[in-house]
Amino acid sequence: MSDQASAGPLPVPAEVRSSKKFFTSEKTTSILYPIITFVLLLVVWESSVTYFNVPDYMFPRIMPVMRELYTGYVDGLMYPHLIYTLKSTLAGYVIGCTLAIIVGALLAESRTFEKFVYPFVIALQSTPKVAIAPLIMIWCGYGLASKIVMVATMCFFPLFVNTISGIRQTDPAMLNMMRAFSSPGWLTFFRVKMFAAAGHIFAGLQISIVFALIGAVVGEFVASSAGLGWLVQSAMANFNTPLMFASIFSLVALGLAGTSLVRFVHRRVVFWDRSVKAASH
Amino acid sequence: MLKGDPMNAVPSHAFAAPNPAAMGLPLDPAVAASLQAGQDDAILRVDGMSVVYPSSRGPTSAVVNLNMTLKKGEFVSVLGPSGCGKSTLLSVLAGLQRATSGKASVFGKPMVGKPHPNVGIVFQRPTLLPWLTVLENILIPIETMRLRKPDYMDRAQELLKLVALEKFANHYPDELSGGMQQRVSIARSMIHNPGLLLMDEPFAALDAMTRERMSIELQDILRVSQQSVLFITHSIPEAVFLSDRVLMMSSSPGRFIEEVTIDIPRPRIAETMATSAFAELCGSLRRLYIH
Repeated sequence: MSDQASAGPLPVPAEVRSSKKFFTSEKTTSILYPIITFVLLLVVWESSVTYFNVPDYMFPRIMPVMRELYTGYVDGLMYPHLIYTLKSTLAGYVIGCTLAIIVGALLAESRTFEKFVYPFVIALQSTPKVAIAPLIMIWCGYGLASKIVMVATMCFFPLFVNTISGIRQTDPAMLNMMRAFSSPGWLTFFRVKMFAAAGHIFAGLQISIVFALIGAVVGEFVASSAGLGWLVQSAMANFNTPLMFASIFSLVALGLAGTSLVRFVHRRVVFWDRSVKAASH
Repeated sequence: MLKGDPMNAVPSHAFAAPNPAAMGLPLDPAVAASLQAGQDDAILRVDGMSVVYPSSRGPTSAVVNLNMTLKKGEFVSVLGPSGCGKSTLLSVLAGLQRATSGKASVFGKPMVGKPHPNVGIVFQRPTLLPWLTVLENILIPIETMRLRKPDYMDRAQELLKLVALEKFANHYPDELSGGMQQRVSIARSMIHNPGLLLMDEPFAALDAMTRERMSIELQDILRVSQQSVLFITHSIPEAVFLSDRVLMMSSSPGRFIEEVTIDIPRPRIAETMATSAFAELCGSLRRLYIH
């Protein structure tokens, strides 16, 4: 795109060329264009709600939502809930993902272990985790612990499946090479398979972060006294739709922050993966 | 073996495998003597080896009744069309699979599906680990054989110099060209100073020009490192250029049909490929290939 200016037969003044480059360059467009879409969405939202005269409890205008966000984050009423959800999400995510990688690696490496547990793993995977949320409340109480367990259960499966397929998809030529140089199995595992699976594992970590938030919110829906999910539900009881919007936007922000963090670490750790490099441009 | 006029020597040096002496073929006395010596200090020995694979249409033979020896310092090529079982032979010698019948031994140790530590191997693809630097990749055999890495750092640097990649020690494989990557894998195969190198069509994945240059470079590397080599290839000029002996294999099931001694004096250089002796040898092998 940026070549068009220089390819033209007529000499183009420098400042024109540079401004053209600025507005069409890959870097600018990837930031500017989504902002344009965002502003357009806001305009459509505000104008249609005003035009059709929709009441605030059905679909609030932008200002009441902004007011809720202001009282939430400037006066600080939202922080306890944000921190509660963040705590359960992070703790559950770490626990669920650690277990997923360990059990996934064991299962990928040991056919015997696989035969013992695989059918049950499939059955568990097919269970809608949301349905067992009330059970978890009974077992772990209504506090933070039950939310952590809920998040961990949700996180586990996407990463577990990706860990197995990642390890199994290791290039057989590499395994053959390690074998030809008399490598013991554990060394091949830590030197080759774990690295070969890293791309898949990070993809799983990215899916799991989204699942973690779902787990936290569902846990708070079922029984809680704090958290952004609980805030959404209690706002519903009062028809406080602007507060629901503010809470949902906070959850979206959490999800976005989590995914970008995982993507950032992915690029740093799996530096040799060409598909990651290509995706980052 | 390297002396004498190659033009005259070719016809009399070409004889039939598996055991020409036993078959009573007339032999050049010098070759007969070297063969005899080979029998005694052979570092690699294959006796009546066959490999049979199970398949949906019943058992299929990959190679049948192979006999060969390789003595210290020798460069022997196994030449044959794709799918003739050359790689199966190498795979058994590398300890990656077992022979169905017959015997194969390396340095006197029977090969029964376990690699010999005194062997280095180069594959068709470089098979470097992309998350390790060139230097770390070269040191992989040291790690896998549970040797002390610091003891081999100097040797790693020497080998990098030998394959002309000393400036790339800390680069990652994907920053290197295909030819450079294959040179890294050659250095890797030599890091533990093995007595025998097994090379499985190491230049097959490279373009024709790089391939020719790599042959010359490999010969120069080996003149310094003095390793014995069993080299698998389907390229006639490559086999002639590099080898002391070429074993010709028929297509499936693979058996040795001819053994040709290459007595073009060393060092062989790029111009060697343009000599009539070289062309003559390639021609006689090509005729065997077609019939």
